Amino acid sequence: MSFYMKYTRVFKLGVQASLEYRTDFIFSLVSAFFPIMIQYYIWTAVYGQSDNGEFFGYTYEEMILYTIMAAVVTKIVATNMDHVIASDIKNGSLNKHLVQPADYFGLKLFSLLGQKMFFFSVMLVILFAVLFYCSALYEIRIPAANLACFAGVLALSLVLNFLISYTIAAIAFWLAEISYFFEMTGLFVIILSGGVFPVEVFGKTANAVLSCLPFKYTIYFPANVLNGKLAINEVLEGMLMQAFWIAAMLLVSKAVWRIGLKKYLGLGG
Amino acid sequence: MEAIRVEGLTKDFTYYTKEVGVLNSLKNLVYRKTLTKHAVRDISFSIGQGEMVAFLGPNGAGKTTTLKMLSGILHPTGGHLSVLGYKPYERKKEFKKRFAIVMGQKSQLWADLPAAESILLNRYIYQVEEQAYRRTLDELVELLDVSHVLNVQVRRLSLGERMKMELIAALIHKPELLFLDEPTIGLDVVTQKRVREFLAYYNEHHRTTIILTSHYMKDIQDLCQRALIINDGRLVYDGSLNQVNGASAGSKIVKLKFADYVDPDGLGAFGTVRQSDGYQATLEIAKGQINAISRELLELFPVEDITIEEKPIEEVIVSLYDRKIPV
Amino acid sequence: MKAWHGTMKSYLQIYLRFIKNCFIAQMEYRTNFILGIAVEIAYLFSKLLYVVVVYETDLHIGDITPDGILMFVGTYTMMTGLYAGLFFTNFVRISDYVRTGELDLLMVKPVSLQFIVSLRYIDLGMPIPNLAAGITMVAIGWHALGIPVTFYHIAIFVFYLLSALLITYGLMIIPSILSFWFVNTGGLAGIFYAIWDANNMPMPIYSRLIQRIGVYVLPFLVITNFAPMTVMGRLDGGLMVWGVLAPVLLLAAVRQMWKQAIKNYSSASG
Repeated sequence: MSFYMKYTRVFKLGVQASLEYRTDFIFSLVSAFFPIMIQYYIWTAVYGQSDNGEFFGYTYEEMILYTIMAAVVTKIVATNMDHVIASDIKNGSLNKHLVQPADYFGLKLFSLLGQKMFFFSVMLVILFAVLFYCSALYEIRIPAANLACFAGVLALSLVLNFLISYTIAAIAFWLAEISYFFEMTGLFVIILSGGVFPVEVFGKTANAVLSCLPFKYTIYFPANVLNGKLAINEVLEGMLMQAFWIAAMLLVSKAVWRIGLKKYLGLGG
Repeated sequence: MEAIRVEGLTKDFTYYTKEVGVLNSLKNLVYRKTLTKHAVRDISFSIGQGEMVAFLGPNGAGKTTTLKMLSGILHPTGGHLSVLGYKPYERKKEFKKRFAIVMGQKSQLWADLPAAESILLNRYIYQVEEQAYRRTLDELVELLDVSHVLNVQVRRLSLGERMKMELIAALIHKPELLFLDEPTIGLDVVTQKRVREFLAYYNEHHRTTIILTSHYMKDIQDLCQRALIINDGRLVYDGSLNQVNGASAGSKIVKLKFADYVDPDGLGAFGTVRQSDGYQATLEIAKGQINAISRELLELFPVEDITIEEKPIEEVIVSLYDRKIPV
Repeated sequence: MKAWHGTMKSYLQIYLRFIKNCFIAQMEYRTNFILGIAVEIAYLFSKLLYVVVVYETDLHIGDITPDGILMFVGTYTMMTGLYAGLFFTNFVRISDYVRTGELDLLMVKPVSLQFIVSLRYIDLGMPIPNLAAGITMVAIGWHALGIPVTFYHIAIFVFYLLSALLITYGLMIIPSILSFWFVNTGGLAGIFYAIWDANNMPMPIYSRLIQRIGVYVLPFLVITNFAPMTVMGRLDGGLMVWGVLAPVLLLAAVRQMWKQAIKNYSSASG
């Protein structure tokens, strides 16, 4: 089997798996609606009581759009890959992969992309429908260039988030037991990425720290591309940062995995 | 005294066919084709108090379904049934306190706890008096010889020890009636024997009515005087086990594996050849001759492996049909 | 009356055994125990972000000040802890009992099946962070609003918390009971968790329609709003009565649903 064939096969398997879980997906879409609704009412109350047109640097319209976009982007980007990979490490499935000629990293990445393919397309349609409706409602004009860039931004986010998960999953090499551990890290990653509130809410200091970390380029940044807050040059700059962080996380993950594997194999696996 | 009386007991399950695909799922919303499985068909029998009876039959014959109806887990579709004077499906508390059920493949013990904890919990659930509880527990622990593992986490016990604990947990409230569904499944031969001996002793000393299901003949031979054979939901035999044995008494199955090619024609002289391909052969040999013939086989042929088995229960049932034993 | 008393006593004894059992089992797996707490802290952290937003923006909902809102968030946090500790583990398992047939062995026990199935497991670790944080928030809000600390106020607050606990039980068990008919109800449970989180804010923030539905149809909003509203003197007589009636009606309905589910199980399953 050629290199190419191998990965397309994994990719297709992922697509099939995702189609089997489409009912779950529909339910998760419906449940995504409620946090949006709650935040909609919170922000409406916040902006409604005050003459101040801006909170945390967002106008009302931008904030509402951010909330919706962040929720949708979180659904697209967030994976339980860290948990899956960590389980592979702990239950010994990794052994199986280590003896196979295919790279474990590549296998996981392509099966993830395959799994996400279906959701990715559906979510994009939903996203643009919502956007179309909201921008008409709030009279926000989203530059066409931002729209054009968005698919690219989202794809980069997905890859970057995968790399973050892949790196975090390596913690499993050092843990005796994983159980809920990765549920916790997953939640923290979403919070730090701006999946609950825009990162400005955390305050100036926290923000300065977050600016030196890759998280906010997975949810916070794509959500802001679509609420019209960012100009096109800022979008392009952000995409560059995404590319930079992908490269950086690639190196970090390789390094962490090398150390982890050494420990793993040293113990006899 | 009668412990159980069953007349015309019937159980049907309905289920739906489901085809794959989005279109079929939509179709299913509007119209679903209902299929009926007749798990138990018109069974009648009665069991006296203190009896020890076996439900025999191949997998899926309806043994477990019958047992579940007797214990009130399942509602019968039709027929009358009375267990200890109650209608089991009404699930009265007084009724539940008087029987117990042990299922070989399911556990009522909590794997993360020592068995002693689960047994103690049953004391509260069945409201057993402290003194009676102590006495019963001591007796059972001694009989089954498990005092050393009573306080070990169930997860760490061997399968046999676990089954013994299941028995203790089930018997701690001194039930008058005990249902056992495949109690020896997966156990090694020694433990199987141990469990059987225990059940025989317990039945004799406490006059507890015991009903057990199995698809092993052997499981039951030493234990039960009486067997109910169920096949395809029907009661095909009710009577002494000796007669069942009689039906299969004629012959045993001998399986041979050869190191070299052996002409199948040459085997015909030793017994009925059921199957043979030159390297493997299955013979049916009369019971009385088994020893002599197997010795001869071993001498004359390059035998690599030889196993001697009872006829499978399915065949015994077929021969019972043939003999037209009245139920 | 005496028989009823006896039953209550034996159920309490059994429940105590449940707690002891769970404690022993959880001490066997201390890492899990601690990780469970850590996960809850993570969730708590994500919920506290709302408090940050409330104070940062000086949010007033009607005439409820940020301190008032804190009392609502605190009640919500406490209830989340109680739900996680007392019910969650059980409700998640119900569909497994049905699928694996483990229910069979529970059905023959001479105690209420619903009792065993829905209250068997108690998690002693997970609720700790939520209860601690929730009580702290309520205390801070209580103090800041100058609500008198009298027996009456505390009793009435606790009373409505109990009513809330019963409603929590009744609402959150619904997806699990539906698993008797449908194989996969995980998605529906996810929706219920999402609705649960709507309690993070006082209900006057929502539109009138949502409030009506949340109080009278699926009484989610009763769970965390009524207790703080009574002590703040915001609950009128009608709603106070509803706070007593709602759990009773809901539990009666759930009981009927449960009976139907068991009937379905014992006549349809194989």
